[in-house]
Amino acid sequence: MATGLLRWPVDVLARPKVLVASRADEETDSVAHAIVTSLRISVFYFANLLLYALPLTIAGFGVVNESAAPEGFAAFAEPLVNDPDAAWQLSSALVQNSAFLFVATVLTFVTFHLGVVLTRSSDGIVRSLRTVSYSTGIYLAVMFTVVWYVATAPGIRVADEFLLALQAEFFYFFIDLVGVNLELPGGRPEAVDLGRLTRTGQAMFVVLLLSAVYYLYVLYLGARISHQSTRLEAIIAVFFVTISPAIYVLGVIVTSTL
Amino acid sequence: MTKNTTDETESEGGSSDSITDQSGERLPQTSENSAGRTEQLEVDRGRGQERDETTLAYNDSSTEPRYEAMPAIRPVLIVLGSVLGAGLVGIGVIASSPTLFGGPEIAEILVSAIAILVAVIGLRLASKAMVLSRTQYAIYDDTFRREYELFYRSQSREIPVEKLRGHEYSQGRIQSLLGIGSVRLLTAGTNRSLGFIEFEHLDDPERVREEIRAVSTHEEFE
Repeated sequence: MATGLLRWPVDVLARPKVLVASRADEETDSVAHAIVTSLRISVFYFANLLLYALPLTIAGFGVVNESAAPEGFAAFAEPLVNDPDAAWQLSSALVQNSAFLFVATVLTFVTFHLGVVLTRSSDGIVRSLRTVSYSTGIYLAVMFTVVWYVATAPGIRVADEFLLALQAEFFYFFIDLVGVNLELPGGRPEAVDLGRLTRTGQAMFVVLLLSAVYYLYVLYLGARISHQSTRLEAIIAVFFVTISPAIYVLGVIVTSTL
Repeated sequence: MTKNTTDETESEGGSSDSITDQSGERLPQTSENSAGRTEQLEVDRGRGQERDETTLAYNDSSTEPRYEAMPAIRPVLIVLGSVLGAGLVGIGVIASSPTLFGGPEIAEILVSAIAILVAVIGLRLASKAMVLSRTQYAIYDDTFRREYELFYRSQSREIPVEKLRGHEYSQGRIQSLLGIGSVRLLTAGTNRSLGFIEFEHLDDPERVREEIRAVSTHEEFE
């Protein structure tokens, strides 16, 4: 077991193919087996989600100290904890801190599986579920963690401004493309002087970039190994995932203008 | 495009639910068939010594391999060289024209990311080449074996010939240029602990396939 624990970081960094291929040939020969396998994969994913969101919650992110627990929750929690209000605040913060990563996972799963289905290379929803649980549970979680760290670390100001500016620019690109009269709360971003970027900020961007590359590569491997796709089919499936942020932003723009 | 000979697998009787008899007709691998083969063997024993002697010759657990080889590492080294070369070219392009990528700071980030990625991939390929250089493949009358020893750690994987259900030959682009191929030996379904053995990067894949056919055919006679 110790060897397996030591091998896991090596697999994450140097052999992501091993992660994807480990159970790729597992057949789900009945609906019951598929449900059980899906539940097992979901447990793995939510355990990773908890690992990501729990430190944020314990650090106080998302916790609203004045909020009181609803009656139903208080009645349920009172026999279990001393302070139901504190339990409610922590639970709400945990859900809030998990929300973005969970939504990103759902978006990844939908677009990835749509991609393999449209290329007619799908070998079942369970295989897509497994691929996405690894790619988002590990690499996308790293990306979100880096973004969170950059946004909160006191010594990293320029990197934080640059990330915010990039996100705003991304939104405004589609706003201008669609041609609607929409403004973000902070307005159009100003140019960021990257000359003031610290070494730590640069390192964070390198980690962010590498995590994004690994995230997409694991999805590619998932299509190739789990769904037996050709290279082109796998690239198309990954392409669907890469355009999902654009689809999300366009959806936000359209619903805002309705 | 990777060329896979999967038809060969089926014609070798490699599907999980069929074997090929000596006339080339595919037979279902059912308990009835197994019983039929047993009966045939018993009838042969009743006829005389010749078949038993032949059977005994192949039933002897041979300590001498029929075939032994080590994998070629040239394909891995070529890929390693390509990765290093592509990485250097990429870094050179970015470093020489940083304004194309949004400024010197972003160029530095990109160069760092490429360097780390190339280093990780390069180390991975180098370790694979090292493992392959210490790997040995062997075919015996009754088993197929792949083993390696590295840094006082050894690993050996064997498949009994009787568990073989087929083999798959594949040849990637680089392998094709070098006249090299890989053979994957497949076992049947439910006993997942056996899985398969892959003989990668063989200098003489056709010889290996002949040996596999030879031991498989003799196993069927038994």
